[in-house]
This record gives sequence, C-alpha cells and structure tokens, in this order.
Amino acid sequence: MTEKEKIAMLEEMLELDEGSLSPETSLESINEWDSVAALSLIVLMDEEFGRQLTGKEIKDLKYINDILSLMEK
Amino acid sequence: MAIYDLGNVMISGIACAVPETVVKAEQYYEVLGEDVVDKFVKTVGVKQRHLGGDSMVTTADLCYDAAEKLIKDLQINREEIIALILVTQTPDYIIPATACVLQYRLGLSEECLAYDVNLGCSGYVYGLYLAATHIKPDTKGKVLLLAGDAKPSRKDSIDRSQAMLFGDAGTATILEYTEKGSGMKCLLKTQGHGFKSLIKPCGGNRHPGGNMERTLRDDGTIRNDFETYMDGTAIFNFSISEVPKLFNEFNKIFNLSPEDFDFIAFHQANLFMLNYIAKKLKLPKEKMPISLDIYGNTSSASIPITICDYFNRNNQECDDKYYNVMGCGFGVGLSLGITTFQVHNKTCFPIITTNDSFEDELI
Repeated sequence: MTEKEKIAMLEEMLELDEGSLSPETSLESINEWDSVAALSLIVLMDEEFGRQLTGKEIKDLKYINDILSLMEK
Repeated sequence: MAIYDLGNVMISGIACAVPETVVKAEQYYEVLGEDVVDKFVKTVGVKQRHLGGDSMVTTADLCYDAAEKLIKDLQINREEIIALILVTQTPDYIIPATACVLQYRLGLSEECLAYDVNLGCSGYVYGLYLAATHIKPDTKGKVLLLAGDAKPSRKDSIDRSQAMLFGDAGTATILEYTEKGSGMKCLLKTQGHGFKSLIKPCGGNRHPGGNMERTLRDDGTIRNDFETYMDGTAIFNFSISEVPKLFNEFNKIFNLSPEDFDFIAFHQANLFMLNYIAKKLKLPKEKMPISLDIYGNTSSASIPITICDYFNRNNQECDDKYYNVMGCGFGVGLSLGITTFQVHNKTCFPIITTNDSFEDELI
C-alpha cells in the first residue's frame, strides 16, 4: 500500500476531504481527531493491518506520519 | 479448559426491571458539550438510560421486583426454589451477601442456598453456568438467578468515558430440570492480567481510603478515587480481539455455527464495538439485537435485557416457540464467556419499571 493510499484511508476514516492530510499534519490541528476517532483507528489497524494498538501507542501519536509508521510495522 | 455441556436444564422464564426515570443523552449537553454528546450517541449508540438516582432504588430492589413478577406470572411455588444466586458488583452492603437479604425478602425457604457473585459484563453467562450446576434429576427444585447493577450515584458522574454509558437494571431468571431441550453449553475464560482496565480502586481492603475530591486525571476524565476507572482503549482492544476468538472457539468445540441460533445476545458494551465484532464474525444485523440504545450498558443485566427487549420489539413477528439463543459476556475482570440455551418468547416478559426501594430500618 502506498503512502498516498494510507493517507486516503485516514481521510476517509476522519470524514475529511481528499488531500486535507499530509504526513506533517499534526493530530492536534485536526478537529475530528478525538477519542472516537482513536477507536476508529484501532479498528482500521486491526482490519487492514492485523495490528493491535495499545493505549500508549495512541497517546504517543503526534503527527499523521506517526500513524503511517505504525502501519509499516 | 472451562468447557461444559450441561443437559437436562432449561430456562423457565426471564423478567427484568429498570428504574422509572429516563435520562436522555441530550441532558448532558450542558456538562459535556453538544458535539461530544452527539458524537457519543452516534458512535456508542446510547440514546437514553433508566437511572434510579434519587429514588435510591438498588440492584437488589430491581432484582426483587423482577423475581416477584417471574414467580407470580409463572405461578411458581416459593418452596420449590432451592438456590438463589445474585450476580452483582453493586450489592446493598459490603457485608452480608445481598443474596441472603433477598432470600428473606422474597420469602424463600430456609432450605434454599444463597450467595453473591462479584462479576459484571460476563456475569450473566457465569450465573447461568452456576445456576445450572445446582440442578439435578433427583431435585425437583428450581434455581433463581438474579443479575444486574444499579447505583444511585450514577447520575452524578461527569467522567466522559462513562457518564452516558451505564444504565441501571435488575433481572431474574428461573432455571429447572427438563428431560427435553438442548440444555446449556458453556465456555468460560479469565484474563486477570487486565484487572486494572476497569476498576474501582478505593473503598475495598487494598485501599480503604482515598481522595473524595474529583480531579482531572491523566486520561482526561474527571473523577475521584472511589469512582470506577475505565481504560476504554484497553477494553475496546480486548473486546474486538478476544470476543471473535472466543466465539469461533466455542463453535468449533461444540460443532455449531451462527445458523444454529435465532439470535446472539451480546453484552451491550458499545455499538461501535458490537458492529465491528459482527463484521469480523460475518454476523447479519438481525442476528445481533441491540438494547443499549434505550437501556445503556447494564453490566450483568445486559444479556437478559436484550433478550426480553428483543421479544418486545419484535412482538408481532415472533412465532410462539422456543428460540435458540447464544449469550456472550465480556469485560470487567477481565472475564469472558459464552453460553447457549433456549428461551420461549411467552416467558421472556416485557421489561417493567419500578422505583420501589426496600426500607431496612438500619440508619
């Protein structure tokens, strides 16, 4: 999966317009990033990447790039 | 492994009781903000709950009313009840077991055994298993299983992870011996390493004292040391990974599949979570009834509440017959289990509302 596809997936998850996210986007700057979005991310990671996120991993997320790194592990 | 195939036991009926007061999610607009509340409703799925609040109705009171209804409607002779099990994490007293008080209040025989079980979300499954083990061919007796949670302080919570989630409810189920039917099959598990994920840390003997003052905690919630802490992420992860595993393992052990059940009553934890579990298990929506939209997460009461609510909502379409049901409970402990059984739609009674509270004349 390309970086572009992964970002598109996150945009869809957060119900954002295409092209609104980049690896440098900070999560703090996204209004839609909240505890519910975190649950959606847990589901997305489980479903698409077969990976379980811990609470600490979610807490440590600062930028979209951090999520992209988790998708590679 | 805790695998049990218990034949010759059946559920004779189920009754449930909730407090009269309905608290709608919108009532939290002011405290938690409109956006937060609307998003919560859309995701978690709880539009309203029944809360006892000022009426001081306890779990025991709700279970008492549910049991009275069941005893009367099924015309059960109280002398026939040989065992009373109360599954709750909100007992009336720390000492004695609330089951003993209920044996007295319900006018049951002194030959009846009675005890409490401290389990929550998985409690009904464990309770059915325990109840079934008290039934033998040579005893004509019936077993009364009471399960639920209610606490008057629930209305005061401002912890955004829980304030709008949990509802009060008490339930009663009667089990008895039978020559017919499919009996009960159970698979029970425990993951105690997750005990901190859902915990009321203070007020027990490990930490008798604690801070009564509410403060903002690291996880962003506002609570004191005597209020229950929930690590939502951990519970969510546990549920979406362990429940599908348990479900598949159960079906493999007993050579069953979702087609063998009319519906599956899941513990009503969170709609988003349940929908994802259903997706993972490829369960069609109609096999997974939802009751948390109007009753919230009612802990050990959620499976019987879901069953009675299912028959009430689908009253017109339901044929009069025995339904094959799977009950799946998971959560606090962490503890989890599945049991299968049959219920008749005519003896799963409509959920009653009550604010009756027992006067013990103590204080």
